[in-house]
Formats: sequence, structure tokens, C-alpha cells
Amino acid sequence: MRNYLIRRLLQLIPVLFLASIAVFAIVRLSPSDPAILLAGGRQSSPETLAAIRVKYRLADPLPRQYLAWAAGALRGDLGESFRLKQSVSAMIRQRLPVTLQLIAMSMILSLAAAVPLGVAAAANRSRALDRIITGFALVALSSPVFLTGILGILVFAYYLGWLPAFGSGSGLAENLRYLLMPSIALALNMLALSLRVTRNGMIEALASNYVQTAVAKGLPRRVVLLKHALRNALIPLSTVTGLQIGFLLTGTVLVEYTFGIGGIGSLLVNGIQSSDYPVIQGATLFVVAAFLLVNLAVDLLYAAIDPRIRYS
Amino acid sequence: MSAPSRGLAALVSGILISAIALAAIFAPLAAYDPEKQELSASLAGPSAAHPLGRDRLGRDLATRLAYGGRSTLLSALLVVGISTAIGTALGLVAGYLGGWVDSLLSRAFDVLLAFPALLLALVVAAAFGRGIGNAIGALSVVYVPMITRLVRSACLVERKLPYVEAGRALGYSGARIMFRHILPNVLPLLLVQVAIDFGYSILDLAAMSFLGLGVQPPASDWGAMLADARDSLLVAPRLALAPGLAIMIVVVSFNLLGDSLKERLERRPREARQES
Repeated sequence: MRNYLIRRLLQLIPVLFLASIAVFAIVRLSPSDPAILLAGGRQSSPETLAAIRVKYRLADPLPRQYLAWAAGALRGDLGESFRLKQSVSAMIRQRLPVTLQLIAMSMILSLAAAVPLGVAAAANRSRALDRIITGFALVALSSPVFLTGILGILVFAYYLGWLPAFGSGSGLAENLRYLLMPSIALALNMLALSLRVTRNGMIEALASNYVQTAVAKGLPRRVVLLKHALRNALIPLSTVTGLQIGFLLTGTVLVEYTFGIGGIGSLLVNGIQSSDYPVIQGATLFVVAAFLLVNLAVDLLYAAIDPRIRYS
Repeated sequence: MSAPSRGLAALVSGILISAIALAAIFAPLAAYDPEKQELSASLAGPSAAHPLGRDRLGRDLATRLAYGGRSTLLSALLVVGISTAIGTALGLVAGYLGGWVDSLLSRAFDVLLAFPALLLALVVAAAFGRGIGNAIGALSVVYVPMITRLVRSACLVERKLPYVEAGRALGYSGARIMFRHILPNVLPLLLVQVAIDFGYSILDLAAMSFLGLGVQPPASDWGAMLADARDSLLVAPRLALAPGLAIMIVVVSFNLLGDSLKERLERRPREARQES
């Protein structure tokens, strides 16, 4: 297990290295000149532009610029934002909590809905309830998260006035209230997959011999469903849930933008919209690293949950 | 779902897709210009002449919806077409040749797959400039690895079957075996993925336009129309609802179509198995 972990961590290094080159190359291959952006417009004099190029080392050859950036990134320094003149690392640190809170809340909401609905659908397989639940999941999956968000704002913020429309509030209680609607929008998008996995796992478990035995012993249906079948159905769900964290990272970009929440996602979108290269590079690299680490954690967790799996 | 209801769902989704595609194709027959502004009629409600009313700039919503469908469906078609063509070719080559070609492609895709898909597309589009062309290009790149993986793993199975060996014994070239013999056998599997990808690419394209990186104003596009509608959400929610529902209906239809294709495919070799 330990060796496995070490090997997997070592494997991450080349992937992260190549990904960082890719991020840097994509952003720097861009046709627009960062010096002009930094100077604040096209009217700037050539002297100003030259001074800026020297100050931000934009005249250096690209490999050297990459090395300087990558070396900084290893020390946790992702450079300085062109537009806000702040440290990108500090901006990420400052905005991370709200994004993590958003991800955690939508995971909890999604699972809290998906597991009972999946069990109910499997227990009533091919009946009306099953069709309604799977149909609902399909619609939730197919609705863009920003559409769900906009409809939520319209109904719950404007018409009913129950929840705030934008921002993330301050203090924990207010935070929870502000992030509820964005989390629901994200959770609805994730729900379909978790629900399908739970339902299929339950259907498989219900058809297996050990469940038949439990039924034959005369155990109550509730106990058979929740204690015997559900436990095994939860194993695939744990993998899928872990993988979804990665996709949540993309989902938060859209949700944060829709609801005006100042997290990592809106940092990235603002960076993209204002061609703030250090911010784009830094935030993207951060998300990629997080994505890779989460995927690794999921694999390890899988072994912890399912005793049949052993890594060596 | 039982087989008849699956069949019905596939039929209904087929009809819905066709209807929206027809509306998109014949959009130029509409009585209005999708980009002609008439500020005096800003946000005018539905009427006989304008069944869905007008938007903030007085443009006919129904016309823009049809033109938006044109742009959305055509872009999605391009994304799926380009990524499937490249992904299939790479997958066949990797799966059939194996060896260092396979290793090289797999490592390259590991890096590509390290990025959450939409994120990579956003960064590419940001670097190369806004606009639908770049959005299509970026998403096409992002969709390649998934197709390649699928085709590669199917190809690994096919490669060991007698018909491939027979082809080799007859002295056929690798290209001929890959594209004329293996490809048709992989095609059904690919078709399911294409249907599902079509739905996802519509969602991703809409997301990019929503963030202002895809279709640029004044052109019509469902995602851009949704972003636009946010300003007048309270006064005229129909401006958001119309493109939003259009996206949802198309994506639901493609997902249903994909599901039913998949079901049919899985059932084919073992007809006797009990219906699920």
C-alpha cells in the first residue's frame, strides 16, 4: 500500500510537469501582447512598453520565462496578477474556502438526494415511481447548471424572496444561506450519475444470492434493502462520487459566475475575460493539481472501502 | 425502463431533434432579421406577429431562437465530427499497432485528461481569442481523448479475432484492416458515444457562449441569449426560458437517443436475456 502510494505520487510528477508546460504554452502562444494589456491600452508609448517588458521579464526567451514561473510555482509563488497587482497564490488562498464550501455542500446535497431516490427507484423497478425518478434525473443532467441557477434566482430570490440572489455573504450562517441555491444547482447536475449508480448497484445486489437468502430468512424488506443490499451498492457510488469532485471543479466555474460568488472559478473566469495571464496560469495549474490529487485519493479510498481490492 | 417505453422515448427524442433541426435549417425563411434592432419595441410581449415577443433590443425572439439553434447545432456537429474523426483514427492506430505508438499516445492523453474538460477549452479559447471558431476548435481537442480511449479498447479486442488474422494472412495493409475491417465493427459502440457527446458538446458550447467566450454578439446563440437575458430576468423571464428550454430539450433528446442505442447494442448478442 505504501509502495503503491509512493509510486502513484511519483507518477503524478511527469503529468503535472507536462500539464504545467501545456498551460504555460497555451497562454503564451496567445496572439495578444501582454505588455500592451499591462500598459492599459494600445496608445502606450514604445518606451513604456519596453519598460514593462523588462519589468515583467516578457522579453526573456519563453523557456526561461517558463522556468522562472515553474520554479516559483514549486515554492508556492504563482506570480503577480497583471490587473490587480496581487500575488496569485494569495488570491487563490483567499478564494479557496468559498469554493470548497460550495463543493462540499453540493456533494452532500447531491448524495442526500441520490441515495434515497436510487434505492426507491431500484425497489420499485420498472414501476411508475422508478420512471418518474429516472426521468427527473435525466432532465437534471441535461439542464445546464447556469440555467438551473438562473431559474433558481428567478423563483427563489425574486418571486418568493426566500434566498439571496448573488454573492456569498459573510459569517457561517449567512454563508450557508447564500450558497444554498448555487449548491442545489450544482447538486442537481451531479445527481443523475450518483442516482444511476445507486440504482444499478441496488438492482444488482437485490438479484444476488445473499440478498435472496436474507429475504428467505424472513427479514423485513427495510432491513434487506438498507442493511444488506445498500452496503454493496455504496462501493461503486464512492468511486463515482470521488471522480465527480473533479467535474465539480468545472461546475463551480459556471455556478460562481452565475451567482457572482468570489471563488476560484470566478477568479479564473475574470482572469480569462481580462487576459490576466498569471491568474489564468496559476488558477488552471492549481485546479489541475487538485484534480489529479483527488483522483489519486479516490483510488486509495476505493481500496479502503472494498476489502477485495489490494494495491501493492 | 421496459423495451417499449425505451423505443417510444427514442422515437419522441428523434422527432424532437428533427423538429428543432428543421427549424434551424429553415431559419432564413423567418419573416424577421435576427439582428435588426427596434429599440422602440424593447421587451415587447408576445403578440400575433411576434409569438414569443421581442428581446431587450427589440429583436424577434422566435427568429433568434431558430438562428440560435442553427449556430448551436452546427457547432456541436462540428465538435463531434472533428473529435470523432481524429479520435477514431488515433484510437485505431494505437489499438492496432500497439507498442511505442500506443504508449506515446496514452501518455499524451494522460496529460490532456489531467485537465477537467471544459476548463481546458476555456483556457484555449481565452488564449486564442473569443469567437465560435476557437470555441469549436478547443472543444474538439478536449473531446478527442475520450473517443480515442473507447476506440482503442474496442480495437484491442477486435485485433485478436480471426477476421483480422485472415486479413493479415491475405496481405492486406494495416490501414486497410484498420479502416475497412475493424472500423465497421467498432462503429455501433462509437455511435452511442457520438449521440451522448452531441448532448454534452451542446452544453459545453452553451457554457462557453454564456461566459462570453463562444459566439459573439450580435449573432444568435442559445448560450449567449441566456447570458443576455440575465439583465432583464425579472421583466421578461421568457427571454431566459426560451433558449434554456431549447438547450434542455435537445440535450435530453440526445441522452435518450444514446441510452436507447446503448440498450439495443447491449441486447444484440444475447437476445435471450431477460428484459431489464
